[in-house]
Parts: sequence; C-alpha cells; structure tokens
Amino acid sequence: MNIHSPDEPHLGEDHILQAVIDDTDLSTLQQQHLAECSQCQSNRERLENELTHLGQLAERYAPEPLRRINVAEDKARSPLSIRRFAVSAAAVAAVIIVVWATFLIRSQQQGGIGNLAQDMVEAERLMTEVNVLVENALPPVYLDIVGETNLNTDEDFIDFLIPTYEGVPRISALAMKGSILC
Amino acid sequence: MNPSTHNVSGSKPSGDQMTDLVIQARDGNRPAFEQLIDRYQGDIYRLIYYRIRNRMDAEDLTQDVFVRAFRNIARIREPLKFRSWLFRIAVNRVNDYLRKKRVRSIFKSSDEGADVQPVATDFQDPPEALEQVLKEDFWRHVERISKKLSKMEREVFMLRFLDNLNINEIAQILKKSESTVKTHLYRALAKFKKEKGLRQFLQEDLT
Repeated sequence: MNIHSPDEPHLGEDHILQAVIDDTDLSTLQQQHLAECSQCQSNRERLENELTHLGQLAERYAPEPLRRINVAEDKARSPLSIRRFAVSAAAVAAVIIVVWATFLIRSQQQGGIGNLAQDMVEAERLMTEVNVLVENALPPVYLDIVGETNLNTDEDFIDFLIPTYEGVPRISALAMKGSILC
Repeated sequence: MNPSTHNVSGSKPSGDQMTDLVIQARDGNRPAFEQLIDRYQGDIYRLIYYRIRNRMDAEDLTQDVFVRAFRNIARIREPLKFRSWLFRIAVNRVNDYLRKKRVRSIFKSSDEGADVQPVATDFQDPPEALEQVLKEDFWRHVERISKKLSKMEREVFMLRFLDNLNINEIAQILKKSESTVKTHLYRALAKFKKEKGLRQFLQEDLT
C-alpha cells in the first residue's frame, strides 16, 4: 500500500541502486520514503530479484565437481617433497661453491703484479682526468661559448687589457715624471 | 538478499560449530578440516568455475586452494574469518591462473588458445538440449557484462551476486574498505542495469 504523499518525488535510479547495495546509505528521508512507497519498493525488489536469480542460474548452470578434495595425498607426498627439496638445495649449493671457488682461484692467479699494474694505470688515468678538470671544469662546448679556448690565441690583446708587471714601474715613473713637470 | 549456503555433506554446521571446527583444524585435527572441506568445497569450486569456466581446471584449483589452506591454517588468528580467508586464497589462485593463462596465450596460436568446451547437442534429448542452449546463452550474457566491467567492478559484482557474500566479507577478501567495495558495486550495478540482454534473459526465466 502506498501511503506516502503523492507530491513527494520517487527515488531516482541511483538511489534504488544504493538501496540494493545498502539501504542504510540512503538519507533518513529517502529510507522513510522507501519504506512507505510501494512503487519504489517494487523497483528495488525487481532489481534484487534479477540479481538473486543471476546467482541461482549461475549455480544451476555450473557443472558439479566430479573429484573429491583430498589433502591427505599432498600430506603423504610431503616427506618426498621435503627430500626432493633437500636434494635440489644441496645440488644448488654445490654448484654455487664450485663457481665461487673457481672464481676465487682465478682471481688469485691473475692477482699480484698484474692487478697492481692495472690499478696504477687506472689511477693515472683518473689523475689525468682530475687535472684536466682542475684546469677547466667546463665541458669543451661551454669553453667555446665563454671564449676560454681563445685565451692563448691573442696574447697582445690580453697584454693590452692586463699589462705585465714590468710595465707598472714605467707607468709609475711617467707619473712621477709628470708630477715633477707639474 | 540472503546469502545462499551450500553443503555437500547435507547438514550445515552452525556458526559456533564452524568456529570449533576451525580451531580444531588449526590444532592439527584432520577430520575437522575434512568437515570444513565438505562445507566449503562447493562454494570454492563454483567461485573458481564462474571465473575460469573450465570444469577440470576448476577442480584442480579447488584442490590446490584446500591444500594451501591446510598447510597454512595454523596461521589463522581469528577463526571467525576462516571463510573470507579461504575465499581470498581462491580469488588469488584464480588471478594467478588467469595471469599465467594470459602469458601462455601469447605463445599460442588463436585456435590453440580457445578454451571453449564443445557441446554435443546433436545426441541429447530435446529437454537436455534446450537446457544446454539456455546454459550457453546464460554464460554468454555473463561473459558480455563481465567484459564491460573493470577488474574491481567485476570482482565485487561476482563476489556479491554470484558467490553471495556480504559487503563486509568482500572487503576482507579484497582487503579494501567497505565504502570502496560499495563504490565499485554501485558502478557495476549501473552497468548491469544497462545490460538489456542479460536482464531480459533473467526476467524471462523468472516468469
């Protein structure tokens, strides 16, 4: 029986879905409306019936299992599995030991003077790189941009900009002479 | 909607009895674990079958789920959550299976990869043939809607309406909050409502 006010709007589709999932998620007013409105109840029940029937048909149309579960087989097999695991683990460990021992022996044979020479060459190469960086840390591309690579090409210009130490007394002597003249 | 329950052995243990069985099985009592198998074998088998649609593989996976459960039951701290714990193992095993199947399908030709079991309708009596046609039609509709749902929407939809679990159990199985489960369920239902073919099939079967 529909006892709610005819002016009151019915629950929308989204609220019906919410009611199917969990009607406590609806607001109090909506819950009250659902409890009183036969049309909304009918909408909800129709969807719920379809979903219930979906589950029933799935169960009906799934074939029955023919085999019975037996965990005893696996339990009985477990000592064998443990033995197999132990044998496999031992084999893997043996392989690791052989490989490691071979590597160790080879490294000891090739070590000593050979390794020392190689280390020295490596250290020298590293120091060369460090020295280059000390000279100029910028990569060659940036050296071109800042004009650092042209430093040695125009010594006269540099001398003009920054006079040598020898020129300083001359200038000061001229200055002194000038002061005398004045 | 009341979750349906299935029992292979016939009588259904009550909640307290189930808890006792889980505690006994946890303490190494095999007959207690076998009773749990009797109680849940059908549910787990169907959960797997609904998702992989292959009887023999579903049986193998069901066996595997219970073997894993048997090996790890000592870890259960809350016996009340045994059901959702068992279902979680099943869902994870199904996901592993589907993942491996997807990888294998890359290396197989398309005809080799086909997993559809042929149906010999020619040699069946008319009522059985009709049932077979309906069955195939039903699973085709389910397949169609499954493809329209996202992975999470499909999982919550199937757990709720095919496996008949409640929101709280689904949240435990998927390790999500209840509100997240409801959100995915809402989206899945909205897509279900638009699926005219399946709804018509269900309505015709209902009448």
